[in-house]
Amino acid sequence: MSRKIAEVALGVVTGIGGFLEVGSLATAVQGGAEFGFQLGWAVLLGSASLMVLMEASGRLAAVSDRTLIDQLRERFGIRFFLLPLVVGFVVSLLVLASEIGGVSLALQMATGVRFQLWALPIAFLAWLLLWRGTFSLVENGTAILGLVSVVFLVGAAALHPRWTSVGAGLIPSRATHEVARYWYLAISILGASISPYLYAFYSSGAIEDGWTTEDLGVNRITAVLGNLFGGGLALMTLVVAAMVFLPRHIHVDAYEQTALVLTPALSHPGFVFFLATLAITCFGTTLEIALAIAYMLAQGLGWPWSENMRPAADSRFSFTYTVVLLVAAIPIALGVNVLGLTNISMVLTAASLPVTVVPMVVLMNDRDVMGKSVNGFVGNVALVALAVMSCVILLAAIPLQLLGGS
Amino acid sequence: MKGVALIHDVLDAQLLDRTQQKMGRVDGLVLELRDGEPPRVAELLVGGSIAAERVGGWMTAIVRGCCRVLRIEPAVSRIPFDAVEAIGACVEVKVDARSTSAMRTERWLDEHFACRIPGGSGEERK
Repeated sequence: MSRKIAEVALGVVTGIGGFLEVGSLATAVQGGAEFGFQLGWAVLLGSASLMVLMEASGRLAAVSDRTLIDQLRERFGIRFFLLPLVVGFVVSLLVLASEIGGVSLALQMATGVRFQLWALPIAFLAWLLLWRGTFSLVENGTAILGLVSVVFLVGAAALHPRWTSVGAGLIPSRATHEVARYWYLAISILGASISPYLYAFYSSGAIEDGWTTEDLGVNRITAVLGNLFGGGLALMTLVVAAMVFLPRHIHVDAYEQTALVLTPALSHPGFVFFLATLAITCFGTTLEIALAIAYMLAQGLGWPWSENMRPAADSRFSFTYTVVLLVAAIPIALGVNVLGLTNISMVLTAASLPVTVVPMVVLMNDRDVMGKSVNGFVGNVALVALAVMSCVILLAAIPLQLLGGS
Repeated sequence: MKGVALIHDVLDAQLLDRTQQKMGRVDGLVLELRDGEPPRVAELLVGGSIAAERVGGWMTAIVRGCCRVLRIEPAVSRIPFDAVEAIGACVEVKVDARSTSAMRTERWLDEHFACRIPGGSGEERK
């Protein structure tokens, strides 16, 4: 029993600590700065969607002892599987570069040393932790240190927003100005919350931690509470940005501006906590994505894999995370615009959703795979709605990037 | 007679060797055509070039190109169907993974990469 409670607690912590990262921070701050509380619904929808997908992929792994990636290859064959594999790989690599960029910028703002110089040392440190550490070190370390992001709740409370207005933003409404930009940011926020790497990582984690059908309750509670708290923090970020930037007509064009978002509420400690949040959460996500990419390739192609094994026992797996960390650090070391890269990554992530979400509808209803734990009516309504939404996003993403991307 | 749906249950399944080591996926199946007798499944094939053929000519070209750049022959491992021990969530076979070409890249990286970096080798679990 105490083990169960500990697992749920850990899951919730993962939700809180794992939710905020470079994408959700940047998009929530931009959303708040430009449209006040009006895009709150996108944050809510994003965390609700992730809740559904995490629960489903965790249940899939616990019941069938196979990860989502395994099932995509086994049920749909290599011809189809190549699509989610390649799309997932490219999008995750872009997000990985953005996360390394996030840590680098936080360190630049803290030390004054240019962010380009930080990229390779950060990638090296991440690699070292993966090389020497275990899965629970990555999972729990990221989660516990990520709790620093609770500072956004403190910041929001200190600014005394009108909570009824915040609540009103949770109901979708039409844009009053800059329609294309509004929908562009809505899609970016969704892409930042729902990333394929997240459920590839989550369902691999279920196997690494040896989940069985007994863990289905833990899985459900983790997905619900974790995303509730995590999404709540992203919403608070949007609230803080809305209270600080919107009245001052500050458009966020660079990360350096976002760093000041907590200063009016919490003065200098706000700045320090912002940098700590940015650095820690992006670094944690760097570890998770590098692993997720290695999981995708290893599982899809049948290689040995486990973060708990010595690198030599699964050398293709460990070689993969080594190479992707290096490759992702290069654009940052060359000085690309991190905010621009983040925005593009988030929109592409959103556009990539159908290739994993649509097959998931099939898998979750396959009795051969799921046995008694197939999706119920509510689960199916949610998953099908998500699949339809993901297809709409795919069609809208590129036009909106052209019209609404700054 | 208990049948096995070859495409559904065997093709693309995870292969495990006699020590439960993961050794790739079933990328192809070979049927042996026999005079006067029904055809039978002769071999399981493991290899990127086999999987590539199933994707299409363009993928085969990419794999061939990569092999040419790396100056290697595409590795194809042929496992006799007689060696299959169990077909379930994974396909278990009575072979030693390390002795097959399915693990060629794994072995090479093991020797030239993982074992050369401190902390890479040692006990199997960290």
